Amino acid sequence: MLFNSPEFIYCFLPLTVGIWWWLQSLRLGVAAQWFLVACALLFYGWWDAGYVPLLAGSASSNYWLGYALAKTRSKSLLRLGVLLNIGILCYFKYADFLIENWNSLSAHTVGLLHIVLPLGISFFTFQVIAYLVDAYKGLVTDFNFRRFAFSISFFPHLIAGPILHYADVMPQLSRRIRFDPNAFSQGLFLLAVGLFKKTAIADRIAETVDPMFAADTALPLFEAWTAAVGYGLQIYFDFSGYSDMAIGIGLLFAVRLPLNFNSPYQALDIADFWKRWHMTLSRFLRDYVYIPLGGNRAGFAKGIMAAAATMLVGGIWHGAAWTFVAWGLLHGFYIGCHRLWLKTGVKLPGWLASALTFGCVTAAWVVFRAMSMGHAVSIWHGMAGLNGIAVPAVVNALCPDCPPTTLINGLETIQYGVLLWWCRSQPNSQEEAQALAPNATTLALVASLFFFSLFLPGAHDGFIYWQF
Amino acid sequence: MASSIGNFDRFYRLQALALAVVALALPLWNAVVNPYQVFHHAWLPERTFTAPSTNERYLKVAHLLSPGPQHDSLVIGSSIMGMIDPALLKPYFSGHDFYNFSFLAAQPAEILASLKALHKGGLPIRRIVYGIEPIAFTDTASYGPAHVLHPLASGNSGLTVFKDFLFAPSLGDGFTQLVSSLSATPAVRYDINGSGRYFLDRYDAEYMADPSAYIAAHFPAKAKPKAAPPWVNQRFLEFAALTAWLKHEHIELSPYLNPLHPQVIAAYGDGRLAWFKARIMALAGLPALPDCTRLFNPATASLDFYDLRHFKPEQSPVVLQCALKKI
Repeated sequence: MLFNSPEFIYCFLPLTVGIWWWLQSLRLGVAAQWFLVACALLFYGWWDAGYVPLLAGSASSNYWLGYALAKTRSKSLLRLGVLLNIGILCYFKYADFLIENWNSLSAHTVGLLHIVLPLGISFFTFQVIAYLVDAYKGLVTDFNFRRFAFSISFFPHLIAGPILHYADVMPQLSRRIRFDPNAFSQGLFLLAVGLFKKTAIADRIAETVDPMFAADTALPLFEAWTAAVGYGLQIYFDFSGYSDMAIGIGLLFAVRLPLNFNSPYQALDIADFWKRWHMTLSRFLRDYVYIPLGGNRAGFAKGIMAAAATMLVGGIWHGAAWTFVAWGLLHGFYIGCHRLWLKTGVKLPGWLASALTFGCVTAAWVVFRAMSMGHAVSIWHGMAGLNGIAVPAVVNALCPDCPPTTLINGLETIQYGVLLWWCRSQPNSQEEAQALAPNATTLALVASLFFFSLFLPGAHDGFIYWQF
Repeated sequence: MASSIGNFDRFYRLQALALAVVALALPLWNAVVNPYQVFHHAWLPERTFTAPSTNERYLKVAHLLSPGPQHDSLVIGSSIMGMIDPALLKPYFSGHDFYNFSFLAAQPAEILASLKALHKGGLPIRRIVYGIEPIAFTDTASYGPAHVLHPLASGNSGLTVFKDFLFAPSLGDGFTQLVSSLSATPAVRYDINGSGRYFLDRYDAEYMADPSAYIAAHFPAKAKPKAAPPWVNQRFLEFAALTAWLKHEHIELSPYLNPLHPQVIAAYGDGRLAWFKARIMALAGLPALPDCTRLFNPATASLDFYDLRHFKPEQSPVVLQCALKKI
């Protein structure tokens, strides 16, 4: 069930919110929590009921494993638990990729398994690994299966995050949940903003970007840049829109989910970018990959290697393809360069640092989106002007003899310029929600955003991060 | 200064109410305005199938599978084929009863799915006349609910398709439908329950009113030469699947290349057009393919076309003569 689907907006969401608060008003908080766990299974099973046992089994077994780890502090049990979870993830996500590569390296013809990736598996697997590690360390104190199951399965974050830490939600559930009209208003606001970002912005951008990435030709300069910048904007509005909706829906249940985006395109360096982009993934990678690899403690060179390895894990987490590996390595390279740059003590002007960071991130999005490494290299060539120059219609006067572009007319530049200006200078939706004022302007804004989201979306369906 | 609504206790209620009203407005709008003409009611001024948003993919399949006159042969292709009167095919294929099954911006996969739906629905198809042009193999535009297929073609349940239309994001299409319903001369008129073809009434009226102004507006003399977009590989795979299915079902296929306006010929260039023809022939396993690409005299071609894509219905007999001659 998609957040932008009629069955969700018209039926599932109003019913679950209504019944949740009805049960809360009857002081049946425990029943309300179980009710939402059941709704989450329905939400998950709507896509494919066959994978509901996987979700339920993962939550149950990891809960008991965590409980045993807290009691025994057994390192081998922890290893077993982590390996089991990673093994399941690898089976579903990477088996065919590994077989393909084995076949091409060894000239064998092992048949592909054609496994369908269960929705959200990458997200809930990371959440349970964090839980197991913290249980082993003795940091988990609340062993309540209902709250744990709720925290894993809470449907707003189940499919595409934010990636929760057990401490994000479980403590909220141990207190009595009270209705907060301010939080509810913020929730509706974020729901409308997120839906608008997804359907009216990201999906519209996709209509231009998708054909450029599907084109059976080498993109010339303007089209290559339009494709790269356009995809950077598409994925930002798509994923941050999803996260806004998830956080907003959480607030409708008075459950606060962690922030996932904090104006990433305002970042002044690549480290800053990763503190603002997909923040809950960055948090997981920092706490459960980078620090265990030694972090900053093992010296400068090893620190860089740990950071690069962490980014590589982040890349592979996104999907089973060499393009994701390359994307992770590229970001690892950026982090390494950034750390070396810090050693020089030279400080760039803010505008230049920000532009450079955005340029690097944009170049990396190309390989993230490309269908193959060769495809990414072709687009990078185009961005460097090596595929020639074709001029969009709106700037035709600048070069009357240049060949015209075939996939863009140049108006995209204006559209993307406005969106970039917005992303780089305006407060983000979470900040706007915090400053929400109960007045007619806000009401009109929320209603308008919701109206345009429903009546004028682009022709695109799923959220980009659902595939991960 | 923004007018305050008091506290959040009042505000959240108003906010929830506003969102509920907006949400309910969508299915209501779709049910009443009927932008895609798929709901059977006449709540608006009676003039069916006159908006470009009319979902002919859905309606033509529904018509052909409804009880009534049976057609056994079809004209397929994009809107360029849409204006061909099926009656013109009688001299070429006696004993066949043609229906114009063309769709706006038709892609081979949609045609195949819809033909399979007709086949599944029990319509015997004997022959198909397919006008092909490179534009259909380079079009990357995204289309909305006006292009949603009939449930038998998409494989979705009838309920899913009904839901898709009821909750379709249709503000622009709905206004177009309203304007078309109220307009004296609609832009396009579909004869879905008759021949299946369509008529460009507004273009005809504009041309009749002032031919030179029409030509100046649609074929600007100083227009900068354009380059055609790159090929969409997927379309060729779809085309191969379509021709393979026709062969498998023993349906006679009469394909040909449609006439192109000289500006479109220039945009693709001779090399790409030759490659396109060779690829189409190879994919369909054709020893020869009637090529009407350069059928019209470049000096007077603007009189033969409505715009850069669509030749006028008056030219259909000449086009069919080129397309269906013995080769």
